[in-house]
Amino acid sequence: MVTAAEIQAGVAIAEAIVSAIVKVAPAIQDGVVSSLPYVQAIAGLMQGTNATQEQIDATLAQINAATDEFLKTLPPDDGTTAT
Amino acid sequence: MRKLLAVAAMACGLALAGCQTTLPSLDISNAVALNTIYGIENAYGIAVNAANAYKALPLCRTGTRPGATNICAKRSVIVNLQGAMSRARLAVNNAVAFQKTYPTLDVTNIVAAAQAALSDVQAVLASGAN
Repeated sequence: MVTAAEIQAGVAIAEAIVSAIVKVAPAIQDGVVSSLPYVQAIAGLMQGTNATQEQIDATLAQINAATDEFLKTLPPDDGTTAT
Repeated sequence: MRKLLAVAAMACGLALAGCQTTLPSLDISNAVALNTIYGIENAYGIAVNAANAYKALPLCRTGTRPGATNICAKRSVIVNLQGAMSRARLAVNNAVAFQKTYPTLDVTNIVAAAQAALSDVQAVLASGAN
């Protein structure tokens, strides 16, 4: 038999999870949306579409720009984010 | 005899006009190399987007672990990932440069190097969940 307190505790956990996801949703959404062209390109290759040198050059420029963004150094740690 | 001369003259004429005397053919090996390199690039693209999405998360507070109610990125994982991503970028750029410089050579080894570097990225990304 589930008690009201147990249900309340479950709801509280669910709320915390949803709240955590909502907070970071833009970051997750950005990652998913910007990966779409790459997924579509791989799907195209699997369906038999041949790549061109122009596509390769354009994609290289995109991934290098995305890598530059990722390689930017993090803000220094003030001791609160040392994990 | 006249016919033979006519054919010879026509062949010479075509040669002088710069016409190809061999049938055009599709360079299959080059198409395979282009597709392979493009596939690697796109796999890398997905990885770098995942890395950027991870980096965009709030940093985990000291002493906490990421979890369902504490969605965060570990500073140590991001730093490791930056090293792995740097190596993977170099490998992918090398693969593209190799294919462009030597379009008819086998890309197997250079692609294997890029795949290995991408596997490292994947492993570091996976460690971020722990």
